[in-house]
Amino acid sequence: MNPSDLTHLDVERAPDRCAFPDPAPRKIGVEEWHARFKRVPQALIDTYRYFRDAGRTAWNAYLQPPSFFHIYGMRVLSRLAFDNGLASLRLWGFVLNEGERLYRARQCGRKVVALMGDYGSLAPLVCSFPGLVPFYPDFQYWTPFLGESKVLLDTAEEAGVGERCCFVRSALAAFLRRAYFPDPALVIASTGAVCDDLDAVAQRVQALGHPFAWFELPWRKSAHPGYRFGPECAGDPSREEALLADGFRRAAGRLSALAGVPFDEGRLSATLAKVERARSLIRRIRTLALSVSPRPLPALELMQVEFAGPHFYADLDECLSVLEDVKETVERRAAAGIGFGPPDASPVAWATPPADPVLLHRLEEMGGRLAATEFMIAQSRAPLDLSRPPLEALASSFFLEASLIGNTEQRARAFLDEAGANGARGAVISGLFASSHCVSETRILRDLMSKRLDGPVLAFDVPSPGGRGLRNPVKNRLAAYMETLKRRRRT
Amino acid sequence: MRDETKNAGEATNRIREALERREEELQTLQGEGRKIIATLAAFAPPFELIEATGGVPLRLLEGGEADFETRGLRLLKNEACSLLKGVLGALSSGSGLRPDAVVVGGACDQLRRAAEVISRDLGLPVFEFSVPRAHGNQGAQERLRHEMEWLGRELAHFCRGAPFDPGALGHRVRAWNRARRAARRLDESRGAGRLAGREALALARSIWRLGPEAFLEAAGTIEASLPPAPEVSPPGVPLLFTGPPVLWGDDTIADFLEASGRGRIAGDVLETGTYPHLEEADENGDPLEALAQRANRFPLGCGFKRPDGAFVEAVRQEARRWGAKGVVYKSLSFCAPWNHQASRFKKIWGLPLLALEGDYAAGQTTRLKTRIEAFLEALS
Repeated sequence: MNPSDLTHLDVERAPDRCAFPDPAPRKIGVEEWHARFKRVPQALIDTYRYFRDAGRTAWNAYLQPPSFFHIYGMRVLSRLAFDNGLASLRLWGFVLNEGERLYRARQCGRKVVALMGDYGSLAPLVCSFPGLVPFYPDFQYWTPFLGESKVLLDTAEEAGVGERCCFVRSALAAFLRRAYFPDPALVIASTGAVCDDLDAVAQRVQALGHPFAWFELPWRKSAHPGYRFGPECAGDPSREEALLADGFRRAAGRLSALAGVPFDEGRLSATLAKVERARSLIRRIRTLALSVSPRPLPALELMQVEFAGPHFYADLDECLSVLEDVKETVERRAAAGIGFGPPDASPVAWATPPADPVLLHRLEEMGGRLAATEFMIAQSRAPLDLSRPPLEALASSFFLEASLIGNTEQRARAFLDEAGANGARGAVISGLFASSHCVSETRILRDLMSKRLDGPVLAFDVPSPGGRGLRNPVKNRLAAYMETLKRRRRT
Repeated sequence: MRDETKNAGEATNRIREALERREEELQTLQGEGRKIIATLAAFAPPFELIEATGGVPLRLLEGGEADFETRGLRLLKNEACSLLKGVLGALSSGSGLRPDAVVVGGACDQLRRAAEVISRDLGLPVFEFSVPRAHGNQGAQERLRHEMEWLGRELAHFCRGAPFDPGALGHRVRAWNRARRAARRLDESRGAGRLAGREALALARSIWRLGPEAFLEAAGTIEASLPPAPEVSPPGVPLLFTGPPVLWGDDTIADFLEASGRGRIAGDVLETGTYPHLEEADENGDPLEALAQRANRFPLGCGFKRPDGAFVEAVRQEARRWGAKGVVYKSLSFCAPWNHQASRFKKIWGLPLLALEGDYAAGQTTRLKTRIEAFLEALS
């Protein structure tokens, strides 16, 4: 199936959408969205549903204002500001509803599969089996920041995984507390080219007794530039791809046993067509959001779009619809020359996902804008070659742009190209204290960025939530950094 | 080369002499154009493979000292694992033999990423050798074999400018098996109380620098000079020692455990200890396949494989074999694969466990000593 043939997944023409038109783009706070949401027609609220094949139920609508999630404990939302358009409201509702969605999945007979560490390679495979729903417990690393709470971090510490582990320890705590997602029917954890902390957490999760499988992520695809390789034997990419495809085949065997249906390449091909559509939407939205001025989508919303890539927020079909909606909005704004922030906002490249969402918000408040991103999930938006057998297509796509494998220089290449093309004047690296990738990568990234962008690079570790002690210095450093960028621009 | 003579017995002195001779020999070999291929892990790649390509393997064992760790901070963030900071600090200090290339392979992501630092900052050619972490399945063994074939070709080209000849591998497998048998005899001598635990660890570690032939010679001399086994049980609480690799200069804990005579390292499950020598590679059939099989089924003294059940069982078995009354679990700061499992292991091994985590700074000595004394007191 060609992704462009997926017309049934195009953005919905909800009958009441015209009754709630987008105003001029502006970022608004929780309270303003709360007030504005009262004017959303009920028919529109009823239109947007996850797990559509479950029909119109009392539980599967997700269009809610940020205040709804704030009341349920996501306290940081009150310190953020949001795109005032309907597509972004829908995006936020869909993203923040995921925890509930996973419980509903199990209630309606689906099996929830926890994936760890690969970020985008295995989820398409899971989605190709009827009744299986993928998610990443690793992304619980946002939870302490969303809730401004140390509950998960404290739980991890009590389990012997303290602050010398990066924030991914929240995933272990979430498994232990059994209140953040349902017990998965299967966990597939990646090892090999993954963060040491994640790997250690996954081993702890396995010891809890969940049905478990390990998946090997290769270190590299072929010769690295700067490394020693004989001219006659410079690696064998096709062999690496074949080994990875074999790994996918073994994972498919486990998923097949879980779903109770045989693995079907035709079904996977059809799923990959949808996945490629999702990835192409993410690529399109990114391109516009990072290059057009004024920016047609704020930074936080862009990050939520990017993180749709790894697992489609546990509902591929609805995710496609949400992304189509966002893309249409972004294209419309770009064409009309309307957007967010001043036209002279300082373009900044951002590496490593900021665990604290306030940071991206602050960047824009301080007169910055994103010009490039590297959130360590580049593989989840890499093009899929649908003309190839599906397992090979998955494997080759992984090698095309994986953030996880290879060296820093390889990881930085596409990112720096993007930053240069979009006029980035500097770069920010928001590190994760104690994570294995940051200890050697930060300095190398900083060197590469400052050379290529000819601008200053700010590197810091994101402080833990729940206290202002370390947050204020980071805020001050970001403010000083943005001042420097502005001054450099003026001179 | 670090000084192995602190609190040394006769055995350690002999090993020190052997290491000094080997150091000179390595310099001569390098002067004659042989390539010295350094590694950061004992099993990644198998030393047999390096030797079969014409290279001279050199395990990087320097670095277990505060000065080297501090030096490593120039290359890595503060929260890098102490072992990596120490090894890279030592390598960048220029104090020892400079290898011609480094093969980076083995355990963890931090180690994997060290390849880029070595290449960029130290200017050394680097070969990345990807050892599958997920093990026990055919895919892992196949991947490992593929990696060995690939590295064999690369190293043969680098070391000799010639294609890899797997025929030479069988000879090296047999040589290493002989050395492993000698290491096992030392292991048994330690268990029987004929050899101090600390000395056995130092001896086992030296194999990675001496190579099998020189080790066999040194081990033979030492074996001949060991006293007979005591008629009664040797003094001190028998303990099992485990954790990440122990570098030269990092023997403080082993020293403390045995210094007072109240504790005795009866066995180890350490990548730099005697444990990795307990199992030989099959000498019949395809040697590449034999090495891949050994690495895939045997934990090799490190808990980095996933799942880590084989390692967990190895500790259990060795503790049983030597009648260990407790486990000393010595880890390093920011070593994620070891640190985050300590509390879990404490529960599943069912033995008293002393989990020590620290760096190479001398300032920790008093704290470590107090904890070790308290642990031994509780056990005795």
